[in-house]
Amino acid sequence: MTSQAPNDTIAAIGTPPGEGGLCVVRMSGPETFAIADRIFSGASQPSACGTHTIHHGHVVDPRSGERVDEVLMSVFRSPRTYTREDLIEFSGHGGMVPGGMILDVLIRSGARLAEPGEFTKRAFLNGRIDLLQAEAVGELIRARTDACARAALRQLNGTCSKQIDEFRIKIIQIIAYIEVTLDFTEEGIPDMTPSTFLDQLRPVQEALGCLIKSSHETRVLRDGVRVALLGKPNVGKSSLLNMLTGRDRAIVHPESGTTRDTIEESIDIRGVPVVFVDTAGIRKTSDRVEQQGVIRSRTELEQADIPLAVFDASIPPDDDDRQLVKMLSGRTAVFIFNKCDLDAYDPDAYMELTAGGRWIRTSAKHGEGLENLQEAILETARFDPAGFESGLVVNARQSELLDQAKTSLDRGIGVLEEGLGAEMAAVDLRECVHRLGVLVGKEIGDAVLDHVFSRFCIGK
Amino acid sequence: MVEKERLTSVEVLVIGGGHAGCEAALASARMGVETALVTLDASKIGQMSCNPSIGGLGKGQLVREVDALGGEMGKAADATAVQVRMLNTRKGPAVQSLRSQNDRVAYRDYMQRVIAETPNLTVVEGEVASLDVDQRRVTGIRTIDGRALSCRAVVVASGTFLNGVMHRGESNSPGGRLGERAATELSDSLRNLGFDIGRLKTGTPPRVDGKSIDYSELEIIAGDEFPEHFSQERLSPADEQLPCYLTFTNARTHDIIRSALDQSPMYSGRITGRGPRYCPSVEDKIVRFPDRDSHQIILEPEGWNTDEVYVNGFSTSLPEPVQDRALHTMKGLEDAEILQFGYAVEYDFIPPENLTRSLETRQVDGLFLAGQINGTTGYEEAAAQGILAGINAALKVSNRPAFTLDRGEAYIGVMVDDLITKGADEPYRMFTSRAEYRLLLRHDNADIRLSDRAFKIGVITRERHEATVSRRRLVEAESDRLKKEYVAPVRINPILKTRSSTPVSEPVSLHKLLSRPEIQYSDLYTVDPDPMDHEPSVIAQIQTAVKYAGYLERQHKEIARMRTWESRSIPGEFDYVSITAMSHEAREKLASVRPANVGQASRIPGVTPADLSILVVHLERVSAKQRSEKSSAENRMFHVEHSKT
Repeated sequence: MTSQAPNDTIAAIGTPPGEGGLCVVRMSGPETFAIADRIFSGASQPSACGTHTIHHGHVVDPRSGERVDEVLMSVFRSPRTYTREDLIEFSGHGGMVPGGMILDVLIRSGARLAEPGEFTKRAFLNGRIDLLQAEAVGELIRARTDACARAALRQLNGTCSKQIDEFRIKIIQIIAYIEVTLDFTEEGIPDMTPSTFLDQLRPVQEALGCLIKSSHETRVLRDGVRVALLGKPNVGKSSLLNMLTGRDRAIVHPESGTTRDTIEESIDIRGVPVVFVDTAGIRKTSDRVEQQGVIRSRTELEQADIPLAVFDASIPPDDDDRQLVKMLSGRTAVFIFNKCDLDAYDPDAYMELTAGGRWIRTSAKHGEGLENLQEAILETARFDPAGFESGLVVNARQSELLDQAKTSLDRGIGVLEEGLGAEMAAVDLRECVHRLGVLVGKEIGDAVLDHVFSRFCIGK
Repeated sequence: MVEKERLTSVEVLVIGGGHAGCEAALASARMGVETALVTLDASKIGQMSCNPSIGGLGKGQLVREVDALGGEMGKAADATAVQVRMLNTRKGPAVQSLRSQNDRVAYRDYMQRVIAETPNLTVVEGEVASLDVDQRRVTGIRTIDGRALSCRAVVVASGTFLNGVMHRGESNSPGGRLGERAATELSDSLRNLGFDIGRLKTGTPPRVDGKSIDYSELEIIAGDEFPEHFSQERLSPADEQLPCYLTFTNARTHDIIRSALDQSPMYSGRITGRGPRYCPSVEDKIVRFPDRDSHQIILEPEGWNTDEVYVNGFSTSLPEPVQDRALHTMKGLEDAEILQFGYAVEYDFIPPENLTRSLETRQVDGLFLAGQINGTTGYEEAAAQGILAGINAALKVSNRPAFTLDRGEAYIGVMVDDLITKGADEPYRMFTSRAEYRLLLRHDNADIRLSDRAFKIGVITRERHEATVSRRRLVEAESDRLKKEYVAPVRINPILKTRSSTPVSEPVSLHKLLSRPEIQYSDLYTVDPDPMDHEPSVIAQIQTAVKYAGYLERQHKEIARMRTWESRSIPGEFDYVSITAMSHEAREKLASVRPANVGQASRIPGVTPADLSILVVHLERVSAKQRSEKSSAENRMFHVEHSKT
C-alpha cells in the first residue's frame, strides 16, 4: 500500500518550482498545529493563533536550533480552510532552496510529503469542492501523477533507478533464502545460517549507504553547491566574486584585509545553484577583528563543498600561500592563479606548490578565465548538468524513502547479528523492499515465493 | 445421520464429503440449521485422498484456526495420529507448526462417526446433476436420478471430482479418485449459470507394501517425545507412535524417469491444467532442477493396522512399469511391491475472483464454494474454506450478517483474500510467508485470536471461550508484571554468564532480559520473586509475547492502517467502466475482481496508487450523492407533511 491513511498531516510546496519572489509551503491535517509549534519561532505560538491571521517569525530546525528561513505564517483553522482541515502556510523567500528546507523540517517533524493533488483531494473529500468537480479532480490527479511519474522517471532513469532495483531484487533473493529456511525446512534443503544471510546483506547495505550518501550530497548540491573563496588578503578574492556574480558586491580595495566578514552570494551556473562564500583572507594576523574573520574562514572551509584557493601569481608564493595549500591537503580544491593580466605573472612556482591539483588562470580584473572557472566548479562538484537531470535522486520524497529503506535494512541486519529470529528480520527486509519498490514503482507481491519456487525444489 | 426416509427439503445443502464438505456440513448443523450432506459414496466421507498426514508449516496454523472456530479436523487428527511432530522447533514461534501422520482408515471412520452423531445433519447418497436457481437465488438441487431437494443455501465442495480425469502413462479415465467416478453434469450446470470454468491438476504417489521395504539402513524420522495437540480439546492420541523413514532418489532413478518423459501425460501435452509449483511430480523435479542428483523421499505409514506405506515426494503419472523400475532404484525400496500406482488427476475449478469474502458467489445468491473448486490444494486449505462457507451458509439462511476474517486476523483471512483478489493461476497452498502479519498470526494463539468472534456467532461453547479468555489475560498480565520486576546486576550477571549473555551494569527489568534470544523464562526463576508456575504452553506464549514485543506492536499498527482502507467499502455494482480518468487496465481488473473495499482494491496487481486515488474520489462522489438524495427525499417528505397541516 503506497497511499497513506487519509487522516495524517501532509505538507508540500504550494508555489510552482523555479525562481520566484515568494515560496509558499503548505501543511494540512490534524497535527498541523502540533508540528508548527515545534518548528516556528516568533512572537506568537501557532497553536495560540486565531484563524485567518498572519504572523512574522522564523522556521527553525528543531534538531540543530538553526533558523531555516524568515517567514510569514498564515493560520487557518478547520473548517474554514481550503481542505477544511487545520491548515498553515509559510511564505518564505523565493526559490526552491529555502522552500525545500522548510519542507524538510516539516517532514522531519512529523508531516508527510503530500501526494500529487492531495490538497485538492482532501478539499473534495471534506466537501469543500462542489460535486460536479469530481471528474475534474480525477483528471487532475491523473495528470499530476503522470507528470510526477514522468519527472520521477527522468530523475530515476539510468544508473540510479537501475541500482535501486538491483538492490531490491537482491534483497528479495535473500528473503527467498530466508523463507526457505522458515517455510520449507522439511524439504531436505541444507539449512542456511544467519551468517550466510549477513554475508549477502552487508554488501547491499554498504552500497545502499553509498547511494544515499551521494544522493544526500546531491541534495546538498541541489540546495546550493557551497564554494569557499580562500587565500591571503589582496589576492583578488572579492574581485573574483564580483566577476562571478557580475555585480559589485564585495568591497574591493587595494588595502589588504578589507573583507572582514564572510560574504555569501548565490548564483546560477548552468541551472545549478552555487553559493559562493567570500572569506577574510587566511594569514597570521594580530588584528583582533581580522583574527575573528580568519577563524570564520577556517569554519567556512570545513563546511564548503569546494574550496577555491586564490593566489596572486604576479608575486612569488610566501608562507601564507604554503600554509593554505597545506590546509587543503585531502580536499579536492580548485586553485586560481589570478592576475594573469600583469606583466609579472608567473604561475610556475604555484604549479609546483599545488602539484597535481586543478588550476585555472584568471584575471578577475579583466574577466578572463570565467568560463573555465565555472566548468571547474561544476566538474569538481561532479555536477555534470546533463547528469543532474538524469542520474541522481533529488526529490525529498525519494530521499525520504531511501533513508527509510536503509533504516529497515539496518534493523534487519541488526536482528540477524543479535541472533534474533530470521522471521523478525524478514519483516524488516520486506519493509525495505517495499520502500525501494515505491521508488521504482514496483510492488513486492508474490516475488518472494516466485523466487523460492524457481530456485529450490520444493514439495513432496 | 444417514438418511432414513427421503428428504425433500433442508435449509443448507453441502455437496461433497471431503475435508471441505465435512467442515461445512458440521458447522452448519451445529449452528442449529437443518443440513444435508450429498455425496457420491457415504463410505468415503472424510477420506484422505493423498498423504496420510494433517498440518505442516502454514497448514498447521489453518488447522488450529479451524479448531478455534469449532471445527473437526484438529480433533480428528489428534484422535487418529500415528505420529506427531512440531516442525521448525529450532526457529521462532511464528514459523512453528504441528504436523501429524494419521491412520487413514481411523481418520475416515472418526469423521463418519461424528457426522452420523451430529444432530440436524443428514447424509444423502447421490450425484448432483444441477442446481435449481430462481431469479439468481439458489432454491435446491437435482440428482442425476431425477430427485429434487429444495434448500436455501448450497455449499459446493466437489474436490477433484468435478469433471475429474485421471492420468497414468498414456491411459486416462474419468474419475475423481482411484476407483471412484467423477461428477460430470454439475460442471455443465455451473457453466450454464454463467460461471467460468478452469482446469487444474494434482497428483499422488504410489503406495507400497511395508513388508517389502528394507528399513534397516534408512534414517528414522520419529515423533515428538511430548506430542502437542491440534485441538484445544486435546483428544489423546495413542501412547505409541510410528516412525517415518527417509530415502533418496539417485542418478539411476533420474535416468529412468528422464528417458520415459515422453510417456508422461504432463510432458506429452495430454494434461493441460496447471499443477502446483510447490508440489511437483517427481518428473517435474528432475526436469526443472537438472543439477540436483538426489531428491528426498519420505516413507510414511498409512496406519496402525495396515502395511501400506505412502511414498511421499514421488508423485508421478508415469506408466506403471516406469514407476516400478524407478522406485526400485532407491535404497530400501529395491524389492518394494507397489500396492497402488501413482496418478495425476485433472479437474474443473471456478476462478475464485467471483467470490465474496464469505465464499458466496456473486452470481448466485445462497451459493457457496469451498475447497479445490476454488483453486486450492491441501486438506487444511479445504477444511478452512469449508468451515467458513458452512458458517456463512447457516448465517445466510438465518438472516444473520456474514462472518468474514481479514488478513490481520487469521491465515483463513489471508487465504480468502488472496483467492478472491488474485485468483488461482496454480493450485493455491498456504505458506507462512503469505501472511504479512505472520508474527501475530501464530499457531499457538489461534484460539486467542478467534475465540471472541467464534463465541459471538455461536460455534464454540461458553466454557471454552472463557478458558481462552482467561489464558489471554494471564499472558497479558504476566508480560506486564515482567516489565515492572527489576533485578540488580549482582544477582543477574552470574546467570547471564552461564548463558553467554552480555552482563548488565544497571538494574534491568525481567521483560528486557527475556527479550534476549538466549534467555528463557526458566533462566529467571531464581531472580524472579513471583515466577508463574503454569503449563509449558502458557509459559511459551509469555516468552513469545516478550520476544516479539516490538514487532508485534509494529504489526498491530500496520493492521490498523490496513483496516482504515478495508473499512472504505465499495458498492457491489460500482461502475468502474465510466471512470475514464482511471487506466484501462485498472478498470478492467477492478471490474473483474469487484473488490469489496479500497484495501482489497489496492492489492489487485495492476492497480496503481493513482488509480486508487481516483477510485476514492468517485466513491465519495457516489456516497455524497446518496446523502444528498436522502436528505432531499426527507425534505420532500417534510414538505408534504408540512403542506398537509
